[in-house]
Amino acid sequence: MDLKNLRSRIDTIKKQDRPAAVPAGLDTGPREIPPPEAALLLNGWRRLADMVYEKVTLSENPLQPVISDFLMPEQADTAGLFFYDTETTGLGGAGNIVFLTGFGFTEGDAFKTVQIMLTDFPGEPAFLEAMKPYISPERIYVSYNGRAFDANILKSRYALNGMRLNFGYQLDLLYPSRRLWRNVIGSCSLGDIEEKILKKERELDVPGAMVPDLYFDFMRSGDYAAIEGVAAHHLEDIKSLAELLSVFEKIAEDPVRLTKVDRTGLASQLTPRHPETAEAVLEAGFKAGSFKAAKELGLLRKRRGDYDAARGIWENLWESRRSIFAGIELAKQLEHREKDIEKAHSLTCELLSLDRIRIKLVIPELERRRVRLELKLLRMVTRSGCIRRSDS
Amino acid sequence: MFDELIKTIKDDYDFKRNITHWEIIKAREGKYSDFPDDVDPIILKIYADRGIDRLYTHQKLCFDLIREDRNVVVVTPTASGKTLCYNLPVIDYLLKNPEARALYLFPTKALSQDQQSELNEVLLSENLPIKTVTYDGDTPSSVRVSARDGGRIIITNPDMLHAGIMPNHPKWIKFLSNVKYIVIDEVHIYRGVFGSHVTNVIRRLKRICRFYGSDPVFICCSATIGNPLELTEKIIETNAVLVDDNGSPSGEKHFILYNPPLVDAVQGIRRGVVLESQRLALKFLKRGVKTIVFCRSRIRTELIASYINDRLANVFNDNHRIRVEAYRGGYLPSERREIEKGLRSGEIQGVVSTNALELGIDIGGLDASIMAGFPGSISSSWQQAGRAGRRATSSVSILIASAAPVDQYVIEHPDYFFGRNPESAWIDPDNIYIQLDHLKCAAFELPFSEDDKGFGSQTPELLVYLEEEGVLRNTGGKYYWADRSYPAETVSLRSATSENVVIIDETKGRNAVIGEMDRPSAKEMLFNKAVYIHRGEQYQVKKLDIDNKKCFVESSNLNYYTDAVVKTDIKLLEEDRSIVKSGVRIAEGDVLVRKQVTKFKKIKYRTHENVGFGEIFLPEEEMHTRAVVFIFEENTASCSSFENIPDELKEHVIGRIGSLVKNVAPVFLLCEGRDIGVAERLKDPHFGRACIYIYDNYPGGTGLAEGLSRITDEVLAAAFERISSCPCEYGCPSCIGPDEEESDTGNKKEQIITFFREWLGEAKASHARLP
Repeated sequence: MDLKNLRSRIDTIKKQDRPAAVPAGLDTGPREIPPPEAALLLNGWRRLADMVYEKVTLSENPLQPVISDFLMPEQADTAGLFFYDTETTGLGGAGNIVFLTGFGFTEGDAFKTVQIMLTDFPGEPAFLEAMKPYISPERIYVSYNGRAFDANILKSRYALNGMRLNFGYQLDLLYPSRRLWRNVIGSCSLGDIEEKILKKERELDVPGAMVPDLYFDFMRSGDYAAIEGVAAHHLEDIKSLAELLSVFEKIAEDPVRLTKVDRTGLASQLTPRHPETAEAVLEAGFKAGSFKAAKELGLLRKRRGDYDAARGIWENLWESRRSIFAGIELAKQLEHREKDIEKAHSLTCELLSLDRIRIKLVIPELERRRVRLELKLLRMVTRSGCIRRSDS
Repeated sequence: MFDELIKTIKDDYDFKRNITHWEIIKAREGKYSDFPDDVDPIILKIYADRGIDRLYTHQKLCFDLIREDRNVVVVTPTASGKTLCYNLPVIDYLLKNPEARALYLFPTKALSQDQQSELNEVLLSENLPIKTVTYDGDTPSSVRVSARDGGRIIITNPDMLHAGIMPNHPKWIKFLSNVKYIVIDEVHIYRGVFGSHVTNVIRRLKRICRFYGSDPVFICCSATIGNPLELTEKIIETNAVLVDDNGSPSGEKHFILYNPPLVDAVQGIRRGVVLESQRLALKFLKRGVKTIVFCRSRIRTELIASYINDRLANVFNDNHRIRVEAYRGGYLPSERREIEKGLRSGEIQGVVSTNALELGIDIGGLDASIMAGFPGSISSSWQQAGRAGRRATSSVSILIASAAPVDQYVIEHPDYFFGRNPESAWIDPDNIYIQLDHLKCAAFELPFSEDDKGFGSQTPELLVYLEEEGVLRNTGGKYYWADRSYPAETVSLRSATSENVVIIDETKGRNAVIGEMDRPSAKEMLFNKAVYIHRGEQYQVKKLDIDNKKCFVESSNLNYYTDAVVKTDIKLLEEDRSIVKSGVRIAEGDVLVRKQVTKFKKIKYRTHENVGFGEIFLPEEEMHTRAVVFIFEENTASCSSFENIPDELKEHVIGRIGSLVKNVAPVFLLCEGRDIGVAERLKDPHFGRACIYIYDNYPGGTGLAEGLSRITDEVLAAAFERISSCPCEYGCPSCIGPDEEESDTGNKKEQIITFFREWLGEAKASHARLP
């Protein structure tokens, strides 16, 4: 079947679903595509291979020579840190490619960023080859959501081209950022972090959602203007990663006095390696009146077996705000540890009489507790009285 | 007990006089063969422990062919040990080659689970190091990674392969580079639109396998259809060997065709299948005969099961201990598993099912199978009949006909039923709409070379088309996916169009989705003020919002139903070929079908009186598809006999013939009535003669038109048979439809019979005159 006929067949069925195949004003007819090379070279890119270009940028290094063990299992030399980010044509799957990768690292006193760009599909093997010197299992790779996304899509691209990718340790700043700030600033995209934590303002920023279309536009037209913003945005992202890491480092220096973070999240970040600091952070939160911090502190102490210290927290929360959670914890402790059945019973009854309790799911649990306590009370009465025969 | 039952049936005068045919299929001895010598001893032990120490001949033949890397299609009836045909060679090979993998494809999740538990039984009994994982929409993400990396046998369905596995094939490298066998069970299910999609899915899979350097062997299994080898070779697009010499034994089988008595001979009304099947099932169950009843709809399943249970609920005898369950799609998987288990263990004696139990789900052997209505194809009938029957004992299957024309045709033609091959299945993988969708998915998976083979003949043109659309980029001799989207997400393998209208119940402020319907059908059934029946409940359409694909309905209680008057305009776009055959010119080609519903009739229940009209304002529906045209051309038998019809009757006659042909064609085509459409022209502007268009009701066509043009003789003969053997006087729903208009133009049925007799008689005569 000839193409003309085919097109008419397809269009007959499709026209009702779709306004027009081609947006008005966009000429898709065959034409000479100007090579993007001239514009790339003018803008500081260097040709590495056919369709593969590199751009090096030096900037001020925000990092100290050594980074702490706040985010990682142990301290590390800043020289071994590689900050990286990729720009892709979609959200994954075999049909989406990486077209821009950047690695930022310390060189001398400066922070050096190497961006590598692929200008068209056939250059992909050379593009992946060009990235290889920057990928090594010995280094630490710092990213934002790189563990779930960038590393995976890179792995797929290498695999599809018959190459292996051997990444080093992945330090993904997304997770600690969420821990510290989700309850403070809400959404924790890198853009939000830049705006609200790093206080960076971007002029003429490119929204991430537009990136694939801008790239396809660049690919088709060869017009560098289409991709210029994307490359600039990408460079800023990598610098932001280093700045963000230095923010974490400042936090690690004196976490207890910090106020504009989620103290519970901060404590959970500290717990594995610095449990005492974590507790101090929670104490500070408790003193500042944070219910969540107090609750975590109580649980932490309970887990450690320090029931008396925990009791102090529960009592405080119960007295000060009639916290149901604390009330229940207190009742548990009274019943099982202190064997003060009467007090436990009256506390349980009081809990059940709270208005707020009606909407809680804890009622059945509390009812069971009440019945059990009443049985215990009854048994105590019969045992202390002389009605029943001795059963010992 | 069984012989006694057969005797009872034979002696029951009321029953016996309605039997149109009683076929006894003799018991068959098993044909056996030893296990091949080189099968791993541990596998021999596993099967010996399960009581299998030799193979049926067809199992042995399969094993040998598969060992020679031949693609195989196995066609043997239910309970003939089909699973072993592929499990034995696959397990043995995987055991000997620790890197090798196998992919199992089943059309439904239920069948996948069935296979998983069967394989678990075999593999886990001796702790064989062959990890088997079911990978479908229900697989938790925690299992997915280990399935991809460590799964030796992956069980999945075409939909998951299409949308989940292949678009992410770099994650499956280990599996895909080592896949040795691809098992496609129930291959006969992959016909029509679904089959055309699946063929393209297989094209994509083969392409990816080639990329990773693997060249898997295909092992397919099919129910008995007319062309299993042809269908399989069309789907896998390579040669295969047919294995259909069944070596398994079976008991004697009674197959009875039963036509319920006429209640009203003039209107052609018969006693209903629901009551008749329920009556028979009770008769069997009370005598301790394990029985399955097959129905055509989910509602009927529930209805018949509850009737049977009501009648058994007599506390004064033991009947209430007989357990009968309904089984259909829409039940929870756990509920289904419980019923299957009950049937196997004998705890449940009876089951009423939709065709959901027609497929190879293991429910053990039953004694009787009752089909409440013709299942739609001979091949399905044999599948359903196959549910009754064990290896050693006798069984009975009864087909109860409904008043539908297809049923009546089949019941009156036992020779047709028993004498010939079942229907053939058709697919058209090169349907451009389907192919275009899969070409996008394929390009997403791997770039296309300009000379890429194995994706249909139109590939180069379609690639150019997609480049113009802007989703592909042609550079460096290859077409690359250049779009941000994930194309597999928008392509569904099973529904006709992805644009379904959602039906929302708004009764008393409710806001619940009760169903969905494709857009073209919605225009004909869900127009404003239409009466819509859903699961036995009546609703009236408040508003059809075609732009937003929503239809709002409200519970109603009206004494009439509605019927849209559809104006079909059909235009021939391109005639591919045409020949004179069967006394008529038959052309095949591309057509444009425009459908517009302009008004609707209100028809009173029971009396079928027309009690009013309403207007419908909806945009017309356009479809580009394939059609077969019967042209009553000059100098053909059809033309001369058509000229003999009085002019005022011509329109009626041609209209009725059209619907008659449409009604019987599915018998030969392995499709549903709604899959084909018909349009009649008294004087067609293109051909200048009276003609009948029969078109494929799916955009682009699915091979039905091509299939139909091969069998016009049979279809026309069947149409003539149907009308001439129908006992009604003026036409009834079982043949040309009831005569609605009161007119004095004479008996149309007689007129049509005469027309057909002249046409086909003449055609035959002229055929005989040919040298």
